[in-house]
Amino acid sequence: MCESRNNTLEGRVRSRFAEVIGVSIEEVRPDANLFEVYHLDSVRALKLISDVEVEFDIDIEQEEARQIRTLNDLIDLIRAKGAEA
Amino acid sequence: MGRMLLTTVFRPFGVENKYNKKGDDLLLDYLASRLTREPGLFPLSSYVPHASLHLIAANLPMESRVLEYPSVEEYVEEVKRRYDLIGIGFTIKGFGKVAKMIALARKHAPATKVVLGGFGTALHDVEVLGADYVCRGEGVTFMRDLLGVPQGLEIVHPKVTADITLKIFQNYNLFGKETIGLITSGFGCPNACEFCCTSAYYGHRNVRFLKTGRDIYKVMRRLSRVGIHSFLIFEEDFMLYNDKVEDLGNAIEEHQGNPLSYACFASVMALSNYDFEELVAKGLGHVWIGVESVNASFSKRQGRDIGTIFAELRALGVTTTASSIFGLDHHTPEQLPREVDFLTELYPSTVQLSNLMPAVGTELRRRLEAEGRITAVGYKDADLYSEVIHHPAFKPGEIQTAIFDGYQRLYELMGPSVFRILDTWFAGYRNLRRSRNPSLRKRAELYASRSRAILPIFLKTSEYLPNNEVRYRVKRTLDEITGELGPPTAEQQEQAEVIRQVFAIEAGKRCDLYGEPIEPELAVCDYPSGPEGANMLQTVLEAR
Repeated sequence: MCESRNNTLEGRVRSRFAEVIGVSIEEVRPDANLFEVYHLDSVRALKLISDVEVEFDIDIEQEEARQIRTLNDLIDLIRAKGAEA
Repeated sequence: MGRMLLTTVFRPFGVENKYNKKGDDLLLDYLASRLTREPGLFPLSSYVPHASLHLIAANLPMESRVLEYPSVEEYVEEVKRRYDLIGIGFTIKGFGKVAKMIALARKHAPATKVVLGGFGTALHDVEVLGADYVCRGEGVTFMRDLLGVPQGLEIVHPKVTADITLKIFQNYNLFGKETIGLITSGFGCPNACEFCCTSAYYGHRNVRFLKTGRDIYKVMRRLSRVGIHSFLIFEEDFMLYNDKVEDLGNAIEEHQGNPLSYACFASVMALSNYDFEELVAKGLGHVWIGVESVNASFSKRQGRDIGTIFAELRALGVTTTASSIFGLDHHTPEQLPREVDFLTELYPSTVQLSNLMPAVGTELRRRLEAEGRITAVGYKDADLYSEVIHHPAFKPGEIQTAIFDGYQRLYELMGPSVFRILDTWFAGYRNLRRSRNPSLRKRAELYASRSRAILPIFLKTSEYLPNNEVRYRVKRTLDEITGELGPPTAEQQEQAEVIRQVFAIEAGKRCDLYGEPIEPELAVCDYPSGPEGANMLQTVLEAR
């Protein structure tokens, strides 16, 4: 079940984020504020955005990245760019 | 052993996006963006290769390919060839691109190991980007250690060159370019000026790459066989190392064939220990001196009077670069024009003006962070012309404006850099042609030959000079040169006419040189496996 969930767009983004932050995927809440809850800094944010761009073959502009507060925001942005799991 | 890819970050550079600011492409042009950054049509141009990547490739016993300035697509195509190792050299400015390049490598070649190197690795948390290895310091030693290559192997210095021409000549195949050899002799600096990222990166000490002056000469001799006789030596404050300077000078003086000359970086402190005539007789042709400020208190400025040093070098035909920093603690808006006046008094051939840049890892960075003076900026602002600190005496943007105004004023007061170079060579010719020292007379002949070569640039371009004062000085110098060396030949007159036409075309196309982005093209260079082969089989598949 866990494996199946990870193949969804949401699962893949959570997995990426968990890797970047260094926590288990179970600890990642898509609605949590990335900066306040997980203390996401600029270097890790850069890695997350780069990894997501490559994984989903999309381009995220600086201004779009600045608007992201939660993983749900990022997932919505990926969907808006036409990428699917 | 396997295969290795060494690469710079990807282009484009001149497009405003999350990686670059508009105009960043210009920063790749070492001369046009920095040392001859002047208005008008006379700036020089030179794109300098990423020597560090070539040095590593030439010194490892594995098949290596060096990529410079690939597009993302070109980089991905290369990554798909499944190298054993990918090395990415980057500065802080390229940090965002490196993150993307690692992600692409992981996707397209998951088994390939990734190594990061270059000044960008001074950044905190660079490991977060997920490379397998991070090289902080000298790359050849690091890579030899990593791959289990014995450190005692001789260092092979590959052929690394750069072409110099007027920037406006770039699009015309009518003019020859001066090719210079770039020789990496050492890293780091013990002077430990608080702003210096090179010194900080190597722990405020000198790391010798080429051990002796003879080692440097061997590289020169090899390149002289393919027609390269001028060299730029990369080693901070080269004149600190008397043994190297002496050793190299003696070898140059004994050299048979076309005279060899070199450019280097040197401080007032180190230069103060030398007899300049002896240095010139032994090949010194250009020196970059960190002036920093009229009131600089750095230890490297101790020694002989700086004005006398510049004057004596010019009298001996040695061209100079003077670099100054705007935004030092003692600066006020009233003082910055004084800095420009001071540089004008020194009459250097070329000038670099830059913002005070608190690079990561420097004492300056630590101090300004403690004082709360680092303004929030992104990686793409990490260059000499971005304002990244708060200075209590200036409003935001004022220092940057003063820098660009400074370049303009220097141009109006002293004329084009290329004219000052001509003027200096001719002064050297006049002062040395009757020297009792045969080596100095040989230098005088070299200066005469160089003066003749660039004379045509000024024969019919008077209208493009900044003002009547400069026109008068250029005319006076031309009269003196033709009086001494003879009137322009028919060939020089023809060249001058072609140059006049190019100036007219370019003047009509743009009011300055910095409007149109110029992206570098992909350059690929293959090194066969083994250091010995590097000398023989350096193949440039596509030149920039």
